Amino acid sequence: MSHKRVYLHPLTERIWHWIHALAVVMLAITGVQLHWPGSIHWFGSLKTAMSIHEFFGATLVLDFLLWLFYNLFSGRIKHYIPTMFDLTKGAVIQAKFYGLGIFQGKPHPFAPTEDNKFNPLQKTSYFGLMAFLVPLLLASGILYMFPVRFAGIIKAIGGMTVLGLAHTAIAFIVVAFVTVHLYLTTTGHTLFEEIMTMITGWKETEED
Amino acid sequence: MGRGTMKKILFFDIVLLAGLLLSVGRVNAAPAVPESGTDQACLRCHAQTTTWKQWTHSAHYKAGLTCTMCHKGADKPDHKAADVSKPACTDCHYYWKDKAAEFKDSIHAKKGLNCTSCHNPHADTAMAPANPRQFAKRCTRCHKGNVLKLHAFMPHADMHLSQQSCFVCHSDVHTVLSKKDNTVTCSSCHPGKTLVKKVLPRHKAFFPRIALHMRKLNCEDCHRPKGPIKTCSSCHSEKSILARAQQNKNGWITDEPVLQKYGYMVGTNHVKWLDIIGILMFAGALAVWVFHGGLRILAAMMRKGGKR
Repeated sequence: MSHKRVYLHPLTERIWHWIHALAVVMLAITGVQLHWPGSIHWFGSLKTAMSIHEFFGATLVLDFLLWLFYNLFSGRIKHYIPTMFDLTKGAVIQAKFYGLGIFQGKPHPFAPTEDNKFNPLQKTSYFGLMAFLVPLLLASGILYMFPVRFAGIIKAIGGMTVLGLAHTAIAFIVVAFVTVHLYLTTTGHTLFEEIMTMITGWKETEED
Repeated sequence: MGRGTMKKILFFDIVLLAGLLLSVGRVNAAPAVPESGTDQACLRCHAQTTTWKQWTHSAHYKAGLTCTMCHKGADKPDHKAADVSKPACTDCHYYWKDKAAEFKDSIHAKKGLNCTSCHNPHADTAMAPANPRQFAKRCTRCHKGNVLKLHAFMPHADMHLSQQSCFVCHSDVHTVLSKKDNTVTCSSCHPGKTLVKKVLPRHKAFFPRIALHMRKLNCEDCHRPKGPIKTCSSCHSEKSILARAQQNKNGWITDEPVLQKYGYMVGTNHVKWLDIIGILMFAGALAVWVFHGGLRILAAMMRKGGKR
């Protein structure tokens, strides 16, 4: 058994990821206060929480655009596109691993390579997140921020209530995703190996 | 220096000093006596009165009036007070003869005031004094209070008070009917955009949608005579009439800047079942940590035990 180092995350992707992480966490925490303003006052006034939420919301929009254009122009978007195999057999193999193999101490079924850095479930969930949920969340946030400018669109989709509910519902999903995402960082060889990979870009893999 | 010279100087000094003292005495003694035979006669008895001292500065004196022109019966040398008539102001000030009815209806007339309650015919240098603040003292004889403090709400309060008479803003004292009949706005004097241009830079700093506010509002809508300056939330808040009106008209879509900016309406985004689902989802995600993580730790411990 020999060790091989693979470079999974170029600097741009790491910077993108950590800005994304900070923004999502701040948005979630401020979002909790905005959703229950009567009982939660972590950031003082509603206005303060709103300002912080809007700031990180704008940050996330820009960071999302960075991700989109970087991956489109570099061709690295391919990492995120699940194949038919990923969606069917591959997903089942990965799910079986999380459900059984991981407890038996078996190795990860899909060792990351520079051409294919995500396992089938990662690909599927990241694709769903970055292609649907995050854009919807950001778009609904933007509509929310400028309800007059986008009054026509908001009316067309059913008004502020629908918009607010959609924003909240997607936010709940993203928060749950992030929580599980954080848990899965602990499934490397050591607890912090995956996080270190996201910081340095390099991953140690086992080659039989 | 000889003795004789000293004496000469001393004598000169005494003469000079005496001359000075005499001249000071003359200034203090009485105002210059007018070249009017009648008034000369009045002065024999009335020279020491305050009225006389003020009289020679007055507008009436300067206009050439003499005592006996108004006070009939005063030309008799040994007249008594009762013999002397007090004239009606309207004998000369015809304007108020025509307007007498209006004055009689005014709140001031009803409170028992007449011309001389405010105007002093023997002392006033003009119908309205050159210094408006001096004039304001007449109002504050009855309208008690610190004028400056009462007008603190006004921008440039000091400037306004020193340059304008009370009734420039408060209705004409001669015709004002009641306390309520007493309104004036900044825009009465500063119409349209003249004032807006001046105050715009200062308001721009904190006012969203400045142009809209300036077009729709009068200064007094925020700068109130009594109480503090209104804040944004006096007009724009969840519970304000404005907010409710907008809400009824457009649902939750509004073009009010504050509501636009702080548009998260508590309650609209609250659907109980959605909150429950959200919390359950988060709890489920945490459960992954606890149960999947716990199982992993347990399995790892069992594997180690098995190897041993």
